[in-house]
Amino acid sequence: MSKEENNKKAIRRFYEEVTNKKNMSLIPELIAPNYVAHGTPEVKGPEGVKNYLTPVFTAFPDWHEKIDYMFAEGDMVATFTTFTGTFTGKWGDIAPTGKKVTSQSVSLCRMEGGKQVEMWAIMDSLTIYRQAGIPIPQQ
Amino acid sequence: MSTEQTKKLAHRLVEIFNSRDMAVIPQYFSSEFIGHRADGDTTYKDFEQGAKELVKAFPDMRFDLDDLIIEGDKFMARSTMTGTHKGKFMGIPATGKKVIFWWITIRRVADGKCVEGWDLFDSLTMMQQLGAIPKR
Repeated sequence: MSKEENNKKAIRRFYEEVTNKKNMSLIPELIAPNYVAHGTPEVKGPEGVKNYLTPVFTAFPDWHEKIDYMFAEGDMVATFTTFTGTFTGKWGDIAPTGKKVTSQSVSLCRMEGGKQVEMWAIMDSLTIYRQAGIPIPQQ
Repeated sequence: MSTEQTKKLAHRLVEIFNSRDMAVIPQYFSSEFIGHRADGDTTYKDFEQGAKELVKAFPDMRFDLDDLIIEGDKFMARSTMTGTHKGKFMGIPATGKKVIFWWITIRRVADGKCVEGWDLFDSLTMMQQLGAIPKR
C-alpha cells in the first residue's frame, strides 16, 4: 500500500474509532507527541486532543462525522466531513436544548510515521451554535 | 487532467480571485458545476452570484495560498483570506472592519474547468472580527 493510502487509512481510523465510537484510548496511537492543531487556541499533543474532544462529546454524546471526501498527496491528507449531533449534555455551564446540529468540517493533516503531527481544520461552528440554540451574545 | 495541469488551474484560480475579475468565472467553472453543502447542493448560478457578492462585500479581498494538495483531478487549497468589509455580507451591513480568516476549497476538475466543489470558511472567526459576535 502506498504512503498516501496508509495515511488515509490512519485518518479514517481516527474518525471511525475516536470521533464516532468515542474510543479515547486510541488517541496516543494516532496522534504524535509533537502534534499541533493550528487555530485559537492551539491544541497540542494527544492530551490536548483528548481535552479538546471531551467537552464536545459531553454536550453531543451522539456526535458523528461522516467522511464525504478524502484525498492525499505526500504527507498531507485532506478530509471533508458532514457532522451530526444532538445537544443533550451540558456545554460548559449551558444547559442542553435537545436540538440537533448538522453541518460540515474540513481538515488538512500532515502525517509522520502514520501519526497526525500537524492539523489545520475548519468546523462550521457558527452553525453549531445557531442550531444547538447555544446563545451567542451580540454586540 | 494531469496533476501538473490541476496544479496550474489551482494557482490560476487564486490569481483570478485576487484580480476580483469575476467576469472570467465561466472560463474556469463548468455551467454544470455543483457545490456541495450540508443543507443541499448548489448550482453554477449560485456560485457565480456568491463570488460576485464576496467581491462587493470585500472589494480589496485577497487570498494567500498556504497549502495546496493534489490527487489526480482533485485539489484542496487552504488559503488565508484578508479584506475590508465594505458591503453587506451574510446579512451584516458594511462595518469597515478588516478580516483575516481561513478558507478551504476542494475542487474536482475536468477539461480544464471546475465541475464539483466543497467550500468551507471560518465563518465564526470572521463574524467575531466583524464585531457581530464578541469573542467568548
